[in-house]
Amino acid sequence: MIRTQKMNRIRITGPKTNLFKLINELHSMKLIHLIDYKGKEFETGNSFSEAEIVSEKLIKLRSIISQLELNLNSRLIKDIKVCEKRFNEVYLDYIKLTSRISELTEKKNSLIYVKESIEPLYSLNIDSGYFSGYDSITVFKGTVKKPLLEKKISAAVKEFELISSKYNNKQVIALFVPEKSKEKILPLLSEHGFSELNFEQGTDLNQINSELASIEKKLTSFNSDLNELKETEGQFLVDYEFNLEKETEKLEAPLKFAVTENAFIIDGWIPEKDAKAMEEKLKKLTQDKIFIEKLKEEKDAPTAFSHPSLVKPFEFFMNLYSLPKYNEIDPTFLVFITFPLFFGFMLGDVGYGIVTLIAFLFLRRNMKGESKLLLNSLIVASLATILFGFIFGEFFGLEFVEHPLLNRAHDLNTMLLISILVGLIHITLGFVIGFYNVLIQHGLKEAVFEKGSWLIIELGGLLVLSQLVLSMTSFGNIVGGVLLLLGIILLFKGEGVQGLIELPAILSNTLSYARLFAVGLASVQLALIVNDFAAEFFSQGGIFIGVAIFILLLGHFINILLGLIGPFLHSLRLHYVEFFGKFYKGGGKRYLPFGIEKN
Amino acid sequence: MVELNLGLIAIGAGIAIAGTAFAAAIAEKEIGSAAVGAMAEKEELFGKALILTVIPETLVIFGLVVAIMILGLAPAP
Repeated sequence: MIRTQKMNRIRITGPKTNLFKLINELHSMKLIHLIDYKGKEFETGNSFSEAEIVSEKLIKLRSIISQLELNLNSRLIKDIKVCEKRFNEVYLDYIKLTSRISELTEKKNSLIYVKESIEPLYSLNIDSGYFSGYDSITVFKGTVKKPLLEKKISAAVKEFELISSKYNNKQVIALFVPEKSKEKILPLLSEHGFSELNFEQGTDLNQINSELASIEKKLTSFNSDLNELKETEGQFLVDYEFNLEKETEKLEAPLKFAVTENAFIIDGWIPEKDAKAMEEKLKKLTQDKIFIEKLKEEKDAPTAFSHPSLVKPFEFFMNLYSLPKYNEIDPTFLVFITFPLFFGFMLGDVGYGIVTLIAFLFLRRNMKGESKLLLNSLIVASLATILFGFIFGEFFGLEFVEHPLLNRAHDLNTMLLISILVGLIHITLGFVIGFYNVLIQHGLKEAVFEKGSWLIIELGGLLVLSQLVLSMTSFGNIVGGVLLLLGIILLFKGEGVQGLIELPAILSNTLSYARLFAVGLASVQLALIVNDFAAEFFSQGGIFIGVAIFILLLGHFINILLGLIGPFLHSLRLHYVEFFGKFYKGGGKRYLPFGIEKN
Repeated sequence: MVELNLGLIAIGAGIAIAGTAFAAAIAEKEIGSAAVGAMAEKEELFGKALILTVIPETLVIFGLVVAIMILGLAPAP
């Protein structure tokens, strides 16, 4: 729990004839974390020949899925043989439907275009036959931007006939002028923003409308067919994609392996607890035709957590920061203990704890993955809030116990002292873990120089303080001073000048824990103000009781929101900055076994 | 004159909080905008960005500690 899962590096060698069988088995086992072959002695393998066909199918499948906007959860299909036939049928149906739909849509659009160009002319109420067929007359038909007045035309030409009407806020005109006066009228028309509308012989608005209606009908029927296809086959398509993806994973696995003409080498990590069972299973599968070699190596091993389900949610904080390296302490368990305590200490109110608990339980129902982890950890935190609420004797800011264990609104000095003490313990714990980390990674000497020095400095500082400020001891100054000097020398040897520069940080880090009570103080004061404010209205009675209730609801709602953000961020920060800074390196690789679902 | 002294003490405590809060805000503004910029490039940096952004918050805590010490100067009511 304090360390990540122990890993074994194994190398599987065997003849290529067994390769696919082996890959299949490894894929369903979901245990081996494959290492890409990067050496120069051998070549890397090629994917199996079926890979191309499968990926082609996947492309088709994915295009349908994205077109149909399918958003479903995928499941594993057992019988993949049947799927192929079913998919081909669905694909044909789909292509047929979509090509018909796009054909009809195109036709519809061109009809709409024609309709839009002739409809204004229909508003003139002239038989379409009059628009053409003259020898000595020119017809201008179309729309103008500025109103065209007869007066202006008569200034240009003597003989003319203007018919105009309004259509969609535009003036539609049909202007008949003698052929010979055509040139004179053109400037006037362009000045008015004339645009010609074409009118093909034999087009009939009624006919177009009825055609459009029939196309529309067909389109709706095709679209409903498409929707039906989506309903009936959607789940299948998503499932099939999931399965094909797994298939490609298997088919392309040899790209990671080293191969010779007839043999392969698979390299990877597996958890030590599964190593033996896996080895036996694989040997049995291949009738002892493979050789499994265990390597004594721990460098670059992937990180796999192993936590009981109660601690598991707190992996969220490690994922957010950085995964622990294989050979360092996994602090998830410590975060599990201290995070809720810090959070509860800051929020510390029975009422707020209950409200947030209910809210988190409610939110959790529809969550998956990381957000579910976060909510689960926050649930633990709100339980701690209730616990501290009892210690502080607070319920929505009301002090329901006469003399609580701790009165945080008034005992500021006690609260400050507790916070600093907690900080001291937390930081010391960090140094101790850091000591252990360096010990297992680099040995005792380094550990004493790098982390032990800080512990000595801390102890020395405490002794000096105990005499100077609290005058608890009479020898503190001398012993403490010696220890301080010793610690600083060790630190200088271990970390150089950089270590000395960081010396004041230990003081600021410890003081930083004062936020534990500061954030809580702000929260409780706000709650008190809301309550006092509401009490004023309550005492006036009558309609003011409604106002008072409104103030209570709004005030506490806002305070709970603030109370969630503040304690969460501050608690997180105390862990990430003050605590992790003392020992944590991070940068581990996640253990991702071959065959596991990636989300 | 006691009231005047008390008022000055309160003002002193207020200045301690206000000054440090301004300082923290200015520092966080700079760091926060840079952190968001970095996160736009690489989303996994969120954890580190958060830490860097909240580091100056300690300033306010110092202010608070100082304020409490100043308030401690006030005569008991």
